[in-house]
Amino acid sequence: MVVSEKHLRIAARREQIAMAVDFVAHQAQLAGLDDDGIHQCSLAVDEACSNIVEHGYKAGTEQAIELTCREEDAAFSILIADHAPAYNPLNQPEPDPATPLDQRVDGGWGVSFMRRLMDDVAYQHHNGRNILVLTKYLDATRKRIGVKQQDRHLFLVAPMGDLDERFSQRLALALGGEIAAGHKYLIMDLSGVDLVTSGGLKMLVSVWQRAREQKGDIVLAGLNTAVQEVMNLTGFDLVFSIYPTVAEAANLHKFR
Amino acid sequence: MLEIAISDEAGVALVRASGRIDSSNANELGSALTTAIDAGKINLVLDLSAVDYMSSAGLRELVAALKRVKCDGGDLRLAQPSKRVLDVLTLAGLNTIFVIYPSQAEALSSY
Repeated sequence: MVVSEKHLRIAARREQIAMAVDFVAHQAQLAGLDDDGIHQCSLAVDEACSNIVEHGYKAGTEQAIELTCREEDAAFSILIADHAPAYNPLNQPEPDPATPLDQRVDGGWGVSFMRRLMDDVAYQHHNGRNILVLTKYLDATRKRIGVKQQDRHLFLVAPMGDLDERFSQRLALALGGEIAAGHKYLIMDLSGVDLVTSGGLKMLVSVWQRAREQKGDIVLAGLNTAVQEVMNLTGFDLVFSIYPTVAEAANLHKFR
Repeated sequence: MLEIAISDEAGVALVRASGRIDSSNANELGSALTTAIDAGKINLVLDLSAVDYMSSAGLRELVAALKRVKCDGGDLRLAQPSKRVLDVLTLAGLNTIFVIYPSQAEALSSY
């Protein structure tokens, strides 16, 4: 299932590569990759775009590179497409890192980097375009959102970890997707959450409003003392229905 | 954004870079190193502590400069690369080719 797909088009010029890198880094962050994973994706995209700029298009032609970041359940993929003459960069032999300095030929690192940085690197030629697909597999630690079906109409979301700015952005994406799919009655089990930041609060309000717009509802359950205090201090306990446990929320709350 | 400063430390050329090094500006690093070498310096230290990102374009400039000074009996030594830069050096197998010091002082006094 595709969770999100975003596009960016840049001119095939060196000065534009940083923009492509920033775009991919941001999407990788939203997909839940850790700092190392984000850096690896950044380097891989940098290399791929640099190769296209250096070797792909003939000098003097103003051409474009099209990037797509696609987040699926188990993978984050970066597609890099160009209209330069057909060329499969994966056919290049890899430089041997053990090569002594004076025998090293400059260049050719880009592809070996990409292979080492990413979980999968694939090439297609399609519709006159070279398409390089770089993939990072998303592991269990990313599945910290855990959406489950509680009963016919009710869904349970149990995020694990602090509701900081970054995690909250991913949650907002995921929950927005659930609501858009018609899963508008949600119990948020916060027993796995130690800390809620202002970013987390903003996210909760925003997804709650989205659910309400669809005549749905979101209730909270399993808050620890600290989180409950935050709710009390901010007055959010007047906005949200809060239950001690998921079971009570499911049994007692009138969702419709 | 990339900023480069060159200074002379008792005959050793100290080049300090800060910012991000990618294919749009790696040639600036190359130029700085070349400037020092053309001025007759064969012992160089490149302080990378303020470089938060370096792609293979930067590595190429380092290797080119290293080859040049080695030919003349000198060296290009690296000081305090950040974790990210060290990762990239390791990925390219350059962590065994360049001598890397944890501080600028140690790199300079190694000559």
